Amino acid sequence: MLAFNWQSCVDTLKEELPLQQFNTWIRPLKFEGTAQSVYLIAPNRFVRDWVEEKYKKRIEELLKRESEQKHIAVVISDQRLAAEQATDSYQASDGREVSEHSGREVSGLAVTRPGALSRKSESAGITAQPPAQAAKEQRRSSRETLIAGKISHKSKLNFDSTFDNFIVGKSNQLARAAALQVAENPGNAYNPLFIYGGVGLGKTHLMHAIGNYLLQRKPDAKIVYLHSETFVATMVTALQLNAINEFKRYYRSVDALLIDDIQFFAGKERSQEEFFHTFNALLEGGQQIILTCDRFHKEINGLEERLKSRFGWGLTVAVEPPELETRAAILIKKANLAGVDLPSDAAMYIAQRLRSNVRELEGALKKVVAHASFVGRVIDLELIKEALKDLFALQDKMVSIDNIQRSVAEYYKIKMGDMLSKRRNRSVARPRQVAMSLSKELTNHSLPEIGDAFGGRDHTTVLHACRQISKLRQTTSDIEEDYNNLLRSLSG
Amino acid sequence: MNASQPQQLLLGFRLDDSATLENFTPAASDEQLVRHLREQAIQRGDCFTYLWGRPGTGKTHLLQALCNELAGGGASPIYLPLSRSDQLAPAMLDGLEHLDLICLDELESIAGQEEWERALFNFYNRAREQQARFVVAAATPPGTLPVQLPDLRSRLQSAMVYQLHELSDREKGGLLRHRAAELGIRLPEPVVNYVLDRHDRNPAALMALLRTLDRQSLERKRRITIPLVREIMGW
Repeated sequence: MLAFNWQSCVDTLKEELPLQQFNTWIRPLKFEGTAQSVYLIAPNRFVRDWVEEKYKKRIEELLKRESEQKHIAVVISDQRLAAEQATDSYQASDGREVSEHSGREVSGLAVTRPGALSRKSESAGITAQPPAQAAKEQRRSSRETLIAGKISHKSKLNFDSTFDNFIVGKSNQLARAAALQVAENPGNAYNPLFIYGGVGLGKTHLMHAIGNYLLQRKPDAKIVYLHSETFVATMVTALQLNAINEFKRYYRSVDALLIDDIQFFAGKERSQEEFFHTFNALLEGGQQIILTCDRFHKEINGLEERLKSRFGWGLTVAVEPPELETRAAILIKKANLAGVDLPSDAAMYIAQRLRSNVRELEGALKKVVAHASFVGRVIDLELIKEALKDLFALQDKMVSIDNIQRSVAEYYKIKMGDMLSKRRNRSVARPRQVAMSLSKELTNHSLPEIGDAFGGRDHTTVLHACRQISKLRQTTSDIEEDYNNLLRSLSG
Repeated sequence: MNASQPQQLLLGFRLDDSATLENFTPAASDEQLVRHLREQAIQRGDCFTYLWGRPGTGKTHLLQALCNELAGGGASPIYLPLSRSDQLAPAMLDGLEHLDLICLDELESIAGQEEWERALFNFYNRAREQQARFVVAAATPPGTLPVQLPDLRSRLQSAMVYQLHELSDREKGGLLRHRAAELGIRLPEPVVNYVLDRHDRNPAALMALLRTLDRQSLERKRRITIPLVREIMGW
């Protein structure tokens, strides 16, 4: 009966509120009702508090109007059932430490379970907050559940990421070999394994591949994968619920601990402290630790020195951006996995245009597949051009010679005017050659046009610049790195 | 309009301005997107779509329409305009991954705000883990959004990215006629052309004009004609 009332209440609110407000605050509420009580479950505390403050009174009025009941208890709670989700749903998005959170958070936990509140709220008539006693009970029961072992994680491994479907190329073969070594001999010499590199290059894939390999060889192995922010969040919750010992026991009992993006530990001293001890315990116990990071461990600002040095105790490997052939192979493999046939010339075409990271390749492939299904044609070069024309048009617009000159000048901290000037000392000539070479690679302009754009130079100067840079990229790692950075930023 | 003239009170009359996928008029090149969104609203499993386009291309309409479409089946979607981030807090993204559909509008508003970017990055990771369905809309494509956190940028790039194109003038005329017919307003062809030649042609502005014309024609008990439009708009 109340469900029906709630629906008509929703209909009325839809009439009364601007659509935007309605879709933001009323739509996400989940309804649960008993004979006399209405529980509206908000997705989080923020929505709960907002609805409580702005709409609860009106909801009560409407429900009373629709119902014959004189008293209807409307309880607005949030859905983070503390005991069930404490370990994985709370994210310390503001990065502050535990003490700043604790009071607020515990009160949030206290109103999360409608069942526990119903007796109290019914006897108290219309109320939105449980009496203090209920809060205490709830808090205690949350903690008890946690202590009783609810802090357990699922391994959260992504079973789709394996060594078999990891495409190997020059850019990542070393990292893959190291990962395989670790998977075959966990807890031995390569502990921790520290994989670092830019975003979307396959670090997390390799990490999951090791986890899956370990599980395959020992199905009862306790492999725990988590993002560093989840580690922080879990620790925060454990501290609030006085369950830190359970937290410690849990993480020290794993066979392998896989922590992604550890750069997010930066600046979180209490988490670093906790992780430091966990790290030592695991290392002593011969349990494998695998970490990923967006940079070399010594370069993580805001991380304690003792952690930085420990991260380098085992094996550190880099994952570089995949080269053209690898990008094309990744596309073909992903298409195969999706049950789609992607001709190699089509894959090469996409790979040539999109260089920034593998995630972008994935996004483009999804778009191509959707387009093929929409127009009912097989995937070929023509169809790809159609499907991705917006993306490519935008890229063409972004990658103009002018844009390249500006980006290179900014990168090398020289003046834009130097790009066009006649000055020939190396500090400006080298960046100028890099910019010419990038213009040749990223635009369709002819060599004379490129020469013109660089202060009216001859096309042979451009040709010389391209050859020079190509040679230097083979022999000088700095130039290779600079060139790749610019290439990715310009074509991303 | 003559201010001294008593105006008829139009109690209870309300234009149906609920956004739906049906009353969205896509540019010819965007029909595929609308089909994709419709499928996304129905199908299960994770799906992440990124819409971008200039103001007035219908991003907000589409996100609202998706919420409406889904809520009809008793599901719980959410629409979140991030331009209101000054009134909201990053904690607003907590737990959203458990909803049936999450629509985040005006993503550009939080680009460059460290706390929001971090919260969005975390939300993305949780949403993928939960296989949630979510759609984001922004003024620019992911590659050029001024996001500071590279981890977030690359994740945004993994979406099905669709550009919403602006309607041509012909399509805008079609939109006016279509919407007028839907609302039972008689809008003669010369009036459509007259309006398009003189008024702001942003679809939202055209819809607002349509509402004004409708209200005034009811109050004045006159059909919508060029002289009436001229009178109301002072052109």
